Amino acid sequence: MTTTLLEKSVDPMSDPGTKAVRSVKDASGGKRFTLFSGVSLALAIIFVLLAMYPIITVLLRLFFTDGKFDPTVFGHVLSLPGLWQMLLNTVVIVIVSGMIAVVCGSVLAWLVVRTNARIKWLGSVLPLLPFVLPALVGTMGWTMLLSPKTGLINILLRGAVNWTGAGLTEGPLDIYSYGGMIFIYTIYMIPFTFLLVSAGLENADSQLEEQSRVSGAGVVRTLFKVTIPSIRPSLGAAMLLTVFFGFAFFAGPAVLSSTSGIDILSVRIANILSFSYPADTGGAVGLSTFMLIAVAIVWWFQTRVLRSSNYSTISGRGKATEIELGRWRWLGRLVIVLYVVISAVLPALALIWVSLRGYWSFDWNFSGLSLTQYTTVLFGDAFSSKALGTSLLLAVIGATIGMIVAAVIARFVRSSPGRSGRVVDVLIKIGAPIPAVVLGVGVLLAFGGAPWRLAGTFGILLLAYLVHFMPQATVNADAAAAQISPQLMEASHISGAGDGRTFLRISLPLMLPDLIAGWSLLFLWMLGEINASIILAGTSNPVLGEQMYLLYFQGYFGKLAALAIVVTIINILVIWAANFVARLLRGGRRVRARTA
Amino acid sequence: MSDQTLIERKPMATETTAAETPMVKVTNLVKHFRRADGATVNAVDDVSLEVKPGQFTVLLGPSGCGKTTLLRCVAGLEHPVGGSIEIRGRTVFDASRKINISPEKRGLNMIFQSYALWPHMTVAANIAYPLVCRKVNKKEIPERVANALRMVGIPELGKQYPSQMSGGQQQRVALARALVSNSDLVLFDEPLSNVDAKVREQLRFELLSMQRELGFAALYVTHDQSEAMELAHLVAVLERGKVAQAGTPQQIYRTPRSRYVGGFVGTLNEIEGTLRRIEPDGTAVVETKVGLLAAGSMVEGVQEGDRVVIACRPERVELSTTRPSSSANHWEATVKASVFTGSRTEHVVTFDGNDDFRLWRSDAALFESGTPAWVAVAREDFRVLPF
Repeated sequence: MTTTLLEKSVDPMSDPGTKAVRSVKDASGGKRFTLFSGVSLALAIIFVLLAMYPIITVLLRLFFTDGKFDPTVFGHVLSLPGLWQMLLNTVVIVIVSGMIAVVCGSVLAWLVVRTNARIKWLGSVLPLLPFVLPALVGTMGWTMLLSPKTGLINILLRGAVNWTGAGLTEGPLDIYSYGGMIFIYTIYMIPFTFLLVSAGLENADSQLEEQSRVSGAGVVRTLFKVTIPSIRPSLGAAMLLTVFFGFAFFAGPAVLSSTSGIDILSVRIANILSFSYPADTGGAVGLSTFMLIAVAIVWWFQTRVLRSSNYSTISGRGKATEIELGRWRWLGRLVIVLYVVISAVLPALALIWVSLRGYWSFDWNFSGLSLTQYTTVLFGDAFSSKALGTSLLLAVIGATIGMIVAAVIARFVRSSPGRSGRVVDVLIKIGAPIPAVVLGVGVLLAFGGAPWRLAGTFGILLLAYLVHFMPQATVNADAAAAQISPQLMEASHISGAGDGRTFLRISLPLMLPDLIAGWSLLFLWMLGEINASIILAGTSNPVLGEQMYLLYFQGYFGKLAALAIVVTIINILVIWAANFVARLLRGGRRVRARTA
Repeated sequence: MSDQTLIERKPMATETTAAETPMVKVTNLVKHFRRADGATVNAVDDVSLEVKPGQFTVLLGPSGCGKTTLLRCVAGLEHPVGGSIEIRGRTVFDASRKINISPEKRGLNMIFQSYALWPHMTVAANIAYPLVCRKVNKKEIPERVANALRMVGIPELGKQYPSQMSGGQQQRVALARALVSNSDLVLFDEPLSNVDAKVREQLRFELLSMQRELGFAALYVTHDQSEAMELAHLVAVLERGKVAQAGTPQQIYRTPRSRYVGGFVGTLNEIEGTLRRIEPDGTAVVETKVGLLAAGSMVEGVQEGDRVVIACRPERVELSTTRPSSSANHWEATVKASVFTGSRTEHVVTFDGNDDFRLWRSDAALFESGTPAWVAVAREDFRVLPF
């Protein structure tokens, strides 16, 4: 399963199979113009324009209102109540959570990649957990566990504490606090830091560590003197990615922000646009600018870190020997299992209980359990079933279009040695760091009104999803394309096939297993999308993320939990089915991935 | 004879015009790459070359000399910046006229270093692919695929997938795919470098007999000089993007035009010196640290007084413990090492002017290290090369 992140832009110069002499840029840059490259280029340009247009609209709105120069947005934004407190909250929570997530993710990565504590199947499942149980659902599950009065864990803890006669009526833990916020942010940042650090560990030459061990250093000294220094760039990249993610993170704080009174930038943008009347477009645009500035700063740092990281990726020769943890092995395993339990199992169990019980109560009344809430959300409640239907349709159509377009673009980028390929590659990925909330604002401004008048339609949601996830989809498709030696395509050309036939008969079938895996991720993201949806979805086209958000704040916890569990089951089934089909397609043959 | 209508091949025409129309004609071809640091590297630097119909031409050189780039330019997989390429008399690339025919329209076949077999297709489907692409009558395809499989000696493997086969078998499938469309031109990009030594020898032999039997023209890239010697009608030795020398294997080996060429196609013993005079019979007299040496041949253009090397092959040197009575060049040396390698005995001798002078004898007599000995080289076995 390819789980790729936005920063994992695959360097087209590191083409497997190209020789040293060819791993340099084509000076002539020449490429015959064919129908296939024309179509690819057109698709790429359309998507680049679709991504740029909303953002440019946002930036223009800063200075122009209704076509007239009007910079009052600045003054308006700066006078928003609690602006500086909100920015401070956001920055502090993002940075603190990011640091904790880097430490936790690195420990997990080291355990899974390097030690005998690894649990094989869990290593590949772990980064998928936040997509299977989306952050919105997981956070809601955690509120059911850690609400000060009615949270299950608090009830249990109070039971234990009050036995000593303390007489607590609420607490001792509180999810609606800075600590709770940081907890939720950290949980959903860990998969990203885990992925980056494990990639770093896998690339770092384990012989360096073995040399250190042979030279007489123990496991701990080797870890601090050799392993950690050798993956320092990965750690830096992981930290930056958490900041990227943290500023854009919406689902978690959206659930916690209003009750806790801790105002967060991403939540405020959505609120003043979607949940206040009249919608404060100017304020949303101004706040989006703060987010874009943060993203731009991180982006600048990131390109520097990635550039300086070249020296450390020493190609690993052979698989590293596992570090024997001895009697600490079980502790290691416990840490891995603990993360899975915290990020997925506990909130899922809480949701299952509430969905069966029908309302938020942990009274252990087993006779009251029923599937009523499930039949209600699936068939009874018009909004929930409609939201489910709309989101499923959006996810299927969006993931399919997205993956096909991404495959064509990835193939085009890889087969164009000249400047056009590079330009398309950069442009298509330029939208990646734009937070979904900001993109939602931009798409609404750009396509919501005249002349498009798409506000509240299925079309505007599909458009926003495609634009938002296209960079990720192309990274996935490019990873699929990178698996295929360019000689396989060249052999097809030599055999007399043109670009189109080569794509359909050779590239596409070979990429298909990976494309299906990429499709399933795209499907998951789109099915659980809330950031842009909350701004764009209208009453005629409710989508799952928005519907669950509304159910939660209207207090329909039974319905909400049932819907959340349905989404989770769909996610698991889709991932399982995609893996099954991909394995079936690979069949007996193994793709000759890297040829000499 | 629908077989032959498949691509531009016209067997009769080819035979009658063989003398005047080369299969491949490369003229002043230039291709450069920009390295990551911004420097421009001339991968192919003003190369001109001809491959005649039915001729086996080998491009030989170390890695990075531009031989594969040249091959890929002919195939249409690289886009040169200057010069022209003709295939069967048709211009497929011309920089000045902005002609660049795409690879699928050049009507040639190629065997890649990695074989480039499509892993999602069976062996039969792999071989059928060029026929399908070139719109051969569907009914004919199974029979032609079977013929091709039989020709390369794996008639029973059509239903297998490439990943289920050994390297040698994959190589045969690649060959079958290249030959199935009866093309009269096949390009080879180091096809034997991925199989182990035993299989390589066997495949090399089979390839040779198949080429001589079917009579296709071959352009073959390798860095292995013995492969080049065995297969080629014509060898072109490449040096930093230029053709250093082109000729028959014998010419290249016996009369190299430079130290680079001589050294690349075999071990070359060199002694530095200065060209003193050229006798009327062509004998070149070179003054070296071991005295005046006479060479039977020399590279054109070397002038009296030039700094040169006088060179010979190790198997053309005599070694004895007594002073030779012949009129051949001879001088005193000390044996550094004597090693029996099975098919021959290798001696390394040292003297003032060369402390690593090698000679190969077919007798198994060994000399002890430090033994004084006499080295003798016949006049006709010495060749003068520019320094």
